Parts: sequence; C-alpha cells; structure tokens
Amino acid sequence: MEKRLTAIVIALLVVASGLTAFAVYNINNISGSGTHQPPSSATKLIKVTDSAGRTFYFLNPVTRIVSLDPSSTATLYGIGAFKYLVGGNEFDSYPPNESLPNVGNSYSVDYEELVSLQPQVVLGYGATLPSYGAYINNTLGIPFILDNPNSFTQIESETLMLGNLTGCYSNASLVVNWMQQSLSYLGNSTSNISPSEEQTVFYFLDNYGGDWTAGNNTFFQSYFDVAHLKNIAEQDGYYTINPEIIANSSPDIILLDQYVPISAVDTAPFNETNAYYSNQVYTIFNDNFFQQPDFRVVYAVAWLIEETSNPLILHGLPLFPINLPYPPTNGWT
Amino acid sequence: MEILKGETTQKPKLLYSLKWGFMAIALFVAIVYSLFLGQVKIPLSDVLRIMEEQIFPWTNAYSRSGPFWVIVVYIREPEILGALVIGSTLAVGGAVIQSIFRNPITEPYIIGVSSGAALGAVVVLDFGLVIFGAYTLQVFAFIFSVSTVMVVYLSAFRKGRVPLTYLLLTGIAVSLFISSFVAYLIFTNLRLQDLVWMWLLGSLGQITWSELVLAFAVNWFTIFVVALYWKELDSLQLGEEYAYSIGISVEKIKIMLILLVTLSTSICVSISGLIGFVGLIIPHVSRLIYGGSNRVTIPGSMIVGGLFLIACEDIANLAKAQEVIPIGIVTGIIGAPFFLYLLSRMAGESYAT
Amino acid sequence: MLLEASNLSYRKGKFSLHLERFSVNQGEIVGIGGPNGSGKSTLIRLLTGIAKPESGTIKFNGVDTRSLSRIQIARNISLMSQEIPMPFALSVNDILLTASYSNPGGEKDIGEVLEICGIPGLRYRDFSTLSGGEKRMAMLAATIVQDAGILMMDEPGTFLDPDRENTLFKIISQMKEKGKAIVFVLHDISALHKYSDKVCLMKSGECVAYGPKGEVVNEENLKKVFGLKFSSYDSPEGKRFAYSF
Repeated sequence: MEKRLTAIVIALLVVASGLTAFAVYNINNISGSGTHQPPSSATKLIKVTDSAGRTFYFLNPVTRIVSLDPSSTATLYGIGAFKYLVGGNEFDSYPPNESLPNVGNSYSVDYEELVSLQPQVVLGYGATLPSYGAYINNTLGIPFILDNPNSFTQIESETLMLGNLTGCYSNASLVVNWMQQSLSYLGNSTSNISPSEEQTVFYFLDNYGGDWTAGNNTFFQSYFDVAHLKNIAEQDGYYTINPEIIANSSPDIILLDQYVPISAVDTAPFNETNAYYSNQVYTIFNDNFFQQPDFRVVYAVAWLIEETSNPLILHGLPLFPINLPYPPTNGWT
Repeated sequence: MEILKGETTQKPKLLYSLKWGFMAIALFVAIVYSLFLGQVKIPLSDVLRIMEEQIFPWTNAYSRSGPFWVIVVYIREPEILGALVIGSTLAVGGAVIQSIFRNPITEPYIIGVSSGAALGAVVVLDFGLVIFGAYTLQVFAFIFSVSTVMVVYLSAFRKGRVPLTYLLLTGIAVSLFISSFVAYLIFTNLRLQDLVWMWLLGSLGQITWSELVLAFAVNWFTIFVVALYWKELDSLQLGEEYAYSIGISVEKIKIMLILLVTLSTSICVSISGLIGFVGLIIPHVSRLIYGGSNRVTIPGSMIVGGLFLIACEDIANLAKAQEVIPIGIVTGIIGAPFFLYLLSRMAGESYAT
Repeated sequence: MLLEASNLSYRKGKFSLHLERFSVNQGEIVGIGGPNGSGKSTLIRLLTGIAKPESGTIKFNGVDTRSLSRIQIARNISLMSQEIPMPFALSVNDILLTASYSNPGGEKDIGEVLEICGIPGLRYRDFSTLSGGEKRMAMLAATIVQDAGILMMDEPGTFLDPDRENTLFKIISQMKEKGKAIVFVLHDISALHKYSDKVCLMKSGECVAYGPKGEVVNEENLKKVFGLKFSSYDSPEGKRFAYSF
C-alpha cells in the first residue's frame, strides 16, 4: 500500500518536472514564423486582412499559393493570378480541367502534400478559423488566409485583397468595377417591379431529411433582392422549412438545386403551388455559380432575371474586362 | 490461448517472455518505419539527418527548415506519437472499464466520454467560439466530456453506492440525450456537416507537439497508476461482493479508476475526435495473447493499442493517393476482421461461456 | 471471542432481520439453517460488512467493525459466496492472487492450497472453462488463501460430487484444527447436524434457536422453523433427519 503511494508520488513528480521543462524550453524557443508581425525595416509592405480579422504582412507579392477554397481559385483565375497557384482542392471547378495537385478539401487536407508544395500562403474558407487552418498557420507555419464573404461587397473586397496579395491589383480593380456595373444594371432592370407585384419564390436546396432551403442572410436572398423576388423562407440561414409554410404561401416560382430531381415537385405540398400550375419550376444551371461566392455570382443573378422576368437581360450585361482562355461564363450552357 | 490449454502446472516462461519481446520490437519497428512512410517520398538520408538534428541539436545535421523538416517534425512524428499515446490510452481505458463493469462489450465511451466530447466540439464549431484560441475545440470537448461522465456518475448514486447496471444504463441514457443535441446542432447548420462528420470519425492529422506532451504526461501517468491497481481490477471483475469480501474499498476504487480513465480518454477524444474500436477490441486482443489478468492486460493493451493505431494511421495515410482516410474508418475495417481471426485461432475454450 | 454481534437489525423492503446476539469462538464450526427467505444470506452479508445494519454492533476480537478499515475486516472474515463469479479471462491463479489482497504472504501458498483442494492441475487454467464443481473448489481455495480468522461459506456444497464434498468438509475440519472459525449455511439438516459444533436456526429474519447442535437440532425446533414434521434416526454416518408431510 505504502509502496504504491510512493510510486505514484514519484511518477507525479517526474511528469510535473517533464512538463515544466517542456514549458520552459518552449518559452525560450518561440518559433520565428512571425507572419503576424510587420518586419521592422520594410518600407513597402503588402498588408492583407482576412475575414477573421487577422492581418498578414508580406515583403513581396506571393507567387506560391495553395487554395483550399474553390471560389478563391476562381477569383485568382479571374484576375489573371492563376499562374501563382501551386496547389488546388477537390472542389475546384473554374477554370475547368485545371491540373493542379489536389491537396484535399475543406475538411481533409493532405498536409504532407501541402508542405511539399512549399506555398507562401494557403487560402481557405469558413465562418471562423477552422482547426485545420489554425494547424496550418500555427504548427506548419504557413500563413492561412480565411475567405468568407457574406455579401456582394465582401466578394468585391476579397477580390481586391487577392489582387493585392498577388500583385494583380489593377486586374482585381477591373473585375470589381465590372461586378458593380453589372449588379447595378441587373438591379435597374427589375426596379420597375413594385413590392406588391413581386413574385414569391422558394429555393429547393435539398430533399434529404426535409425540405432544405435558404432564408435570410444567404447569398440566395441577395440574388432574390436584386431580381426583386420575394423569398417565402424568412428565417436566417439554411434550414428545413415546414411543408405547411410552402403549401400556405404557394410560391409563384420554385427554384430547384442542380441535384434535386424535377420529380421532387410532383408531390405535396409542391404540386399544389402556383409555380407548379404555371410551370414556373426552374433548375439552377450550375451550382458552382450560385454557391461559390466569387465574381461569377453576377451570372447567377442574370440567369435568375432572365428566367423569371426579362428574357433579354443578357444583351445589356457589360463584357467581362479581362480576356481569359476560359471565359467566366464557362459552365453556363 | 496456449498457456491455458490442458492441465499444465508450469507456466511456460520462455514463450511468455518471447511474446512480450516480440511485441515490444514490433512496436519499435512500427514507430521507426512509419517515419519513412507518407505521401511524399523523403530520402532515407534526410530522415536520418533530421532525427540526428532533433536528438543532437549541436551537430547542426539539418537546417531546421524546408518541406522535409516540416513534414517529418511537424506532420509525421506527431501523428506517430499521437497514434501511440491515443491507442495505448483508449485500449487501457477499455480494459479498465470492461473489468469494472464485468462486461466484455463496454468501453470508456459508454459512460458519456464520447457524447460529451462530441457536444463540446459541435458547440464550438456551430457557434464559432474562439475563447481558448486555437485550442478552443479541444478544451471544450475535454470539459464537456469530463462533465458528462460526472453527471452520469452522480445521477447513478443510490444509497452511497453506484450500482453497475444503474451506471451503465444511466450512461447510455445520458449519452442518447446529449447525442440528440449534437444531432440537432448538426442538422440545423448545413455548413457544419462535413466538419463534424470528420471529427466524429476521428483523425490524427492535426496533432501538435504541445498536445502530445500533455497527452503523454497525463495519459501515461494515469496508465501507470491504473497498472498499480491490477489486483483491484481483477477482483472487481469477479464481482463487487467478492472484491468487498477480500478487503477492497469498492466504491472508492471504482470512482478513482473511472476518474482516471475519464480524464485520459477525454484528452484523447478532445485532440483526435472519436476513434472507435480501439477501447472495445484491443483489451481482448491483449487478453488472448498474454492472458486475462489486468497485471498483464494493462501493459499488454498499452503496447497492442499503440501498435494497432500506428498501423492504422499508416494505412489511412497511404491507402489512397493524395487523400487521408479518417482513421476511425480504418480501425473498424482492419480491426474487426483481425479480431475475429484472432478469436477463432487463439481463444480455444476461453470465452466459450 | 472472534466475532460478536449484538442487537443487529436490518430492513430492506418488506424483509426485516433482527438478531439479539450472535457469537463465534475460535475453533468453532457454526451452521446456519432455515427455510428460504429466513435471512441466512442477509445475516452473512451483515457479518461480512457487505450490507450495513440499521442498528447494532458487530465486533471482531472485541473491536467494533466501524473502527476497522475494509482490509482489516477482510483479515477477520472471508466469504465464499453462493454465486460463482464469471470473469471473462482470469485463470485460477489470477483469482487466488486477488484473494491474497489482505494477506500478501498468501501468494506463496497458492500451490499448496490447490493441492489441498485437489485441483493442483488447474492453476493456470482459464476459470471460465472449469466445471461447476471445479469452480467451487477454486473459490474455496481463494477463501483459504485469504486466511481470515472466520471463514463464511454460503451453501459451500452446491455443485460438488460426493468425493469433492468430502474434501470440502475435511478441509473445513483442518481449518478448525488450525484455530479458524467456520460459519456456513446449509440446507441439508443432516449435514448441518453432522458437521457443525453450534447451530443457528433462522425463521423470518430471527434466530429461533442458537446453541450446541445437540440442543438445537431437534424435532421440536425443526417443526417451529420449517413447519414440517421431522423424524430422526441413527445411521453409521451419524444422526439423520427426514421430514414427512
């Protein structure tokens, strides 16, 4: 009995002294990655702030980037900075057929591959800094820049941020300018619709485990706002709507996600709605345009207006200012 | 089990020592060999020089930078050591809980460790909490896990003692209750589903050296203490009344051992997610190899658990080019058939009743 | 006096037990008899400390159990339960090692004790693979290894063939000669009379008669306790008791 207690106390002391030694060793050896500290002697620094509010400083434009965020990949391509990408992710869709090494996706990253690509910066997305982002940033010592635009203006500022980071600021400005002109053109084209005349719309995101839809504070709400459509889903974020709400509000338009089969609306409550009777059920042409927040959302809004109120809207849309092998409309047939 | 077949009066000492020696060598080989395994090919000489630099920093054998350095020091080594400490802890936790509950199909997760940790993790992911910086998720998972077990234990108290069946059922009920909240939080936040799903499957991919040092210090200390209580554990396996009659303060020992197991498995779960299977199966593998007394089951589970998880981690890393399969999937796919094989080959008459 | 209990009372649900005095001396074999539900097992649980009495005192060698630690009580009294444990992979040796918990010196005696119990070959066998009788003998060996002053046995003869039963009672009398006291519960009245020195007959949680077996085990007391008419006759193996309806 006594012997056992002695053994436990000795083990406890060993553990405690080991931990203390590690702590002391670590305090004396703070790793010098210093990406959050401005280098003192530099004069023309590149300063970048990400959506989590973290500030990074770079001496020169970065030329080795890994993107874990499909919309960042698209944006870099759009502003002519694609050549600086050394690694991409599983969900990249624009430009098509890109041959970058695939480093994973937002939840499963091949860290060995990532490190061996020697990126100067990793781009990712998320509402808050995800654990893999903290790991890449703090442990692997590669600045992890978080991208999480929640509005058109934030897409614009993210685009400018990436332009700044890669030294393609003037191209980024052109793209942002194009976005602003296009959105204001699209908004004007529907501004004659008075609130009482607005058609109601239901976005059918998914039918697994309920009728998923997008409500307030989502990009879909922003698209509907520009197109002067009234969303029947009034709660925040993405959620499963109660079918009674759909039956009761009987939307004039039903917007189906790319992967929801058209047959999904043949059953109640959808088959009793205005949209079903008037045949105003549309399937989104390509999810990526709607769900990846980058400059191509302009085409999502344009398509929505073209389908629901103005078939000729595309003729007046400003031309994309940068000449790309794959134009931004690629994927919209 | 060779030693238990037939009417032997002599314990075959040589075979027994060989079994320990073989397993210890296998573990060492697995640790070293895994350093050379990965998606990125690193020349042998680089790995050796990196290790030389780590062990003898004054030799300046390696420049302490570059992708190879980061891969070996910050990716491979933490993964291997993480697999070692987590595998050994979960397996020992399983051995202890199985002995206390006298039930071969329990594991630490059953008293609320897993559901509590899951709730903690999901709360952090859902509400985007950052109060403890980069370690917010780990800290929350740990706190929720330990408090769930405490709630389970306290609500199972009846007249100064904790009846086992009552504790087991309380654990299951509370776990289901908490899992419903986890399910609700995941359900209402579509963007979370991938992240939480990956966390629930368990992963060793993001372990840091600080986490490792803490896990080794606390977990191996608890294993050391638990190992000293092997006689108590054996007695509990023979029934609480028996344990009581031979002089064991059953309730005190029970709460102490459950606390130690909760503490150590909660640390594992909070840094690696829910790696299943290890706590349930590895103690049995150890019993089949070394015999059933906790005198050998505790060190045996420790070695076998570490070895098993290191092997699973290698498979998870190498199975698919450029991808990492969650280790929780590998433990099940590899472990279950392996265990069935071992059971049929070695069990003999044991486990027949 | 090795054990002295006075004014014990205990209640669980509808069952209650009350015992004014119960004592066991060194070198004494005490048999407890009585119908099912009369409180025999409860008495054993109270005396071994597994159950706590509502009131009353239990003393070992004059010391109140409330001032003794769990391990000190185990040095005074051991229990061979009626139920056979079901460990999942412990060998007989492992079980006997646990029995030496309160008696660390007992580890050395394991081989010898198994010899005495007639199961020397089973030392490293998995307990769960043994027959019912072998398991009983292994648990008996555990009780001997514990080496407490008083050995409590709840129905020790269950599952034993006549040969092993004979071994059991031989061991019991050897223990008695070593100065141990043995308290056992037996259903067989003839065996109770044959092997005990003192007998306690219980009914409805009370001790109806307690004293030397010659004074206690008689037709009158048996009728009182069991509600049956017993008759006795002499046989070469001692006095036998049989009942008629």
